[in-house]
Parts: sequence; C-alpha cells; structure tokens
Amino acid sequence: MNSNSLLKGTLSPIILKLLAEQGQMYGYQLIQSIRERSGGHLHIKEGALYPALHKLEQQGFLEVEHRQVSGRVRKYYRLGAKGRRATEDKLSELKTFVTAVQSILEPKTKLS
Amino acid sequence: MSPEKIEAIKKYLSKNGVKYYDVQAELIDHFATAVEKAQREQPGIPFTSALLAAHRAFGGREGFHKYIEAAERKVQKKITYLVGKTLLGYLKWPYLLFTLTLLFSWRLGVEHLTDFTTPVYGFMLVFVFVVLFLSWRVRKEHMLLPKRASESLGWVFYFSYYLLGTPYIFREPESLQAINPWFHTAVFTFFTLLPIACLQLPRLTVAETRKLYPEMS
Repeated sequence: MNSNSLLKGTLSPIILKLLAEQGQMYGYQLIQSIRERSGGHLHIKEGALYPALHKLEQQGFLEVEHRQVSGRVRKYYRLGAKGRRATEDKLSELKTFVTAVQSILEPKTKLS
Repeated sequence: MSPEKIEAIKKYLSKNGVKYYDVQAELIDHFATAVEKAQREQPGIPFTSALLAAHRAFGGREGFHKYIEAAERKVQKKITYLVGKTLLGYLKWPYLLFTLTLLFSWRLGVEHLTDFTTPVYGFMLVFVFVVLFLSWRVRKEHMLLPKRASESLGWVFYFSYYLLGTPYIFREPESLQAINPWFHTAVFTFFTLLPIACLQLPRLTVAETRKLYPEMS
C-alpha cells in the first residue's frame, strides 16, 4: 500500500505501539519493523518517518538517547511517561476509526 | 563501516542540502545502516549504488526537504524557548537587581523625555546590530540551531520593536506623555533587556547542540 494520505494519520499510533512493545528503537529499525510486520504492505517513504518521530518528540511523547555505534551516532527513541499514556488513547482511537471504516466498506446485511 | 565511507555519506548529505551536524547525525546512521544492509543482502553491490538506492528509498530530494523542514520547526521552537527562558531569568535573583536598576533608570529617564521617537529608533538599530553580531559569531559553527537563531529573530523584531515601537514613532508626543509613565518605563526596559537576552543566544544554542552531540566538542 503506497497511499501517503491513508498512512499519514496512522503513522504516529504505529510508532507508539512499536516503541511500547520494543522499549527503544532507532529510525531505520522502526522502518524495517513496520515493513516486516505489515507483510511488506505498508511502504512508508523513509523520509516521512523522521518528521513524524520528531513531532512526537516535540510533543513530549518520546525521549531520545544518542549512542556511538560503529563510528557514528545513533539516535534511540523510547516512550516517555506522556507517550505511554498517549499510546493507549491513540491506539483505541485508531481501532475505532478502522472499525468505522470497515463497517462502511463491508456493511453487515440485516436479516428482515 | 569504515570512517572513509562515513565521510562519503556525510559529503553526499551535504551536497543534498543536509549541511549541519545536528541534522546530519541521524541521517548518517540511517544511510550507513541502509548501505550495510544492502551490502549484506547483495554482497557484490558497490557502495555508491547502495547509497543511491538508500537515497531513493528515503524519498529523494523531497525526503531530505521534509526532514529539514521538520528539523527547522524544532529549531524555531527551541530558539523561542531559549529567548523566553533568558528573559524570565532577568526576573530572578541576582539578575533581578540589574532589571530593577534598569527599570528605575528608565522611570527617571522617561520623566525627562520629550521626544520618544529617537530612543525607539535607537532600540531598533541596536537590535539590528545584535542580529548581525549573532550571525558573525556563529559563522564557523557547523550546527543548524545557532545558524538559524539570528534568522529567527526577525519575528522578535517585528512583534516587539515594530508593533510596539511604531505608535511611539507616529503618535503625537503630547498624547504619549498623557499615558502613565510606568507604561513607557516597562516598554523601554523590555526593549533594553531583549537584545541583551538575544546576545546570549550564540552561547546557549551552541551549548544546547553540544549537550545533544558531545562528540562535536
């Protein structure tokens, strides 16, 4: 799936969910993880992930740690206290949205 | 990955507009990891081809543009925060003593002012010099935050000196003198403290970047 507009609203909850599960991750690892777990269906442009990460960081949802790895700096992201609280809300919001869309696309036939 | 290859990635990023260390660092790791993965999966692939493939996956120039745009927004917020924090610092001990001295000096000065235009023009001129000094002071720093600090002060000039200062230039001196002198005192004290706070920016922004990337020192 390549539609950026469809992915746009779901990227933040996906990032929060992955970080809640993994503890801490760096940018490239998150991209690979999204790709693998979606069975290759979600193709985010890698450049789009970082602005989303930086926005979550600015909102205070993520904490950052810089580490030296093989002669370069690696930026690890993890959920902050505010992020842990927001994850539940954002995921339930996303699930409600997905259910609503699904009920429009595949309406249950009512037996009269 | 060898330091030469990391250097090549750095040069490639600079050539594509990602010039400063505080925005480069994360992308260097991203591209290095992508190249390493490509070389693991396709052992014969040349470094340059792997790098170009990583660039395409990143979204090409548009991907870089989005990245820089997001970084710029972050930097703007940081600068606003630093200016605000420095200004608030003048209300805390021992700097409060300096602020109070300034306040009472201006209170005495305002009593004897018949022309408000000249000091306001003076403040504007001083601020322009402060911005020029800031640009000069950080000219050699390889960091986005200090580089953008002087440019971001355009809005400070507009909202503080232009919007607040223009009535002083265009209103009749008699109507200005009718206003409570403490109002002018507060405005002039603010006009004096603001460039002093902005003068701290090069030091604060460089320290802020070095705190995040200690390997730069």
